[in-house]
Amino acid sequence: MGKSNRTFSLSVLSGKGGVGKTSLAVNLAFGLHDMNINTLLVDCDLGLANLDVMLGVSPGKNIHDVLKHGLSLEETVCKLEKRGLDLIPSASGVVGVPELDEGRRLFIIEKLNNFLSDYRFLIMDLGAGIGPTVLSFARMTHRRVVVVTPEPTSLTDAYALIKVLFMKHGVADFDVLVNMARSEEEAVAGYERIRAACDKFLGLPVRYLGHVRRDDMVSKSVSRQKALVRFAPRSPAAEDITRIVERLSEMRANARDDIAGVSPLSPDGVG
Amino acid sequence: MISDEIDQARLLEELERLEREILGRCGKGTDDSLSRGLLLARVIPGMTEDEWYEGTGAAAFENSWMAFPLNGNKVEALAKLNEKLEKLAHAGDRDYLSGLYNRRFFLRVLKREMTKAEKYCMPLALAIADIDDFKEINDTCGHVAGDKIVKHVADVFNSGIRAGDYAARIGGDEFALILPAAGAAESGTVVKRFLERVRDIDKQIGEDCRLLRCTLSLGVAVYTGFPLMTPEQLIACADKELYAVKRNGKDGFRVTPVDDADAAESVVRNDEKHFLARG
Repeated sequence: MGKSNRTFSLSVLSGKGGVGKTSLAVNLAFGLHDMNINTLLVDCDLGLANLDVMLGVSPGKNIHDVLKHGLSLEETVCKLEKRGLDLIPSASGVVGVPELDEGRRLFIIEKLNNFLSDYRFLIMDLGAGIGPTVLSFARMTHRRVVVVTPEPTSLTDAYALIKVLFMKHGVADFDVLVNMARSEEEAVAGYERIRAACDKFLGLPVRYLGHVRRDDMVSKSVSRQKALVRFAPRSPAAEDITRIVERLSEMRANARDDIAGVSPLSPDGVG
Repeated sequence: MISDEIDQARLLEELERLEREILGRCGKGTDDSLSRGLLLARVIPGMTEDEWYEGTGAAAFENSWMAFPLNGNKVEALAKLNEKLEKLAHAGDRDYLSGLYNRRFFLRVLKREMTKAEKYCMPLALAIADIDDFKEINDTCGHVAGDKIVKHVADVFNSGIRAGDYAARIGGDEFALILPAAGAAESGTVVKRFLERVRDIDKQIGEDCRLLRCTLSLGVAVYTGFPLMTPEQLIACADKELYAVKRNGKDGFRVTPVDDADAAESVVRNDEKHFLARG
């Protein structure tokens, strides 16, 4: 590695779609940027990429150009702010590449690792579900945020995701974020079900990262193609997100020594 | 593999030439300095030189080493070699009629590739193909003609198969393709090409027998490691798609991913699900 690593990597996952995962990934990235933390957001949802749509940017190049035409990552980077907040987009609706093979994955990982030294935070927005691309990216980052809603189906699918990553890939480090909660009580109750199930059936402790309240401003911000924390910074959901961003920043500070000796993305997985 | 009609004298001559070549390569003449030397050779049925150098599957073969004395009695050595080759031919990996891999080899590779898919999070496509109206071809044109069609179709697979993929004949008119690392879209492209080439094959299969058409039906199942499956279960998934194609007029293919919804369903047991729902 040469010099010590300072980039803290985080993958954002969900067992099923429609739980607000991508919107959260965007807002966490903006929130981190607002704390003066250089952040790179990577859209890894290769089949249904829509980070660019959510942000109203029209990127010229994307991750497929890196894979297919040998472009460098620098050439695909899309600046979300003048300094310190960048996006690597993925192409939406490209048929035929929803799953990457091992070779292509390693190729991207290697490129990312060489490219990341300017960033303090890497956020990977992964597709929903437990497909091979999701699983292999999820096990490479330092930490994983599992986004759930309090609905039983979301809890079940998130549990399935955690179970597979833990049992098959030895990943034992999960932070649960409850989105679209009507109240803190409902969020904690939802989290508690996952925690208890992981404890009872897997013997695995998981952590509570926090909750984000259900808020009409979220869908408004999406239709205006702006990050919520910019569009409505005083809204309940934006306040919740800001609290979570502070926790993530602490998490990185606490892990500084642990990540110094490892790449931001470790191809063999963290398990 | 080696039958009676092979000229023994020519074989002996070939063996002697081989011996001289080997001795020459290790810097020895055919003098008595190597009279106690032994050549260890290994026959790997079905493997091409390219495959050997790419290192694929080398570990999959055992018990196929044979010792051949360099300065021994050629006739006796030949008899032993013959016996060994017969055994290997019997236990070989190729199907005699089509030249494709046989069912046993297919099952072995499928199992290995499924394990790889699970371990490395790679997709794996399994295609099962069946010649449309094969029974009719046999009934109207005879079994010789039927064999000819099987051979034609096998040739299409043999010549078009990509490096790293496997084509096997697993039943009378049933074929299988194993496409490691291929997802739904990629495997669709591959099997579509085979379908088109099969349509183009020579339909004159006997002096007075010309087929109106020769087509395939194909079912593809894409495995991603979840839910964990046995090879038999994955074959059943591909078969299901194949039957759907047959019902819908044949000459086509269907691809089914073993998708996430099913996967989540089977990853979470019922007791876990109830626990999560009730709290």
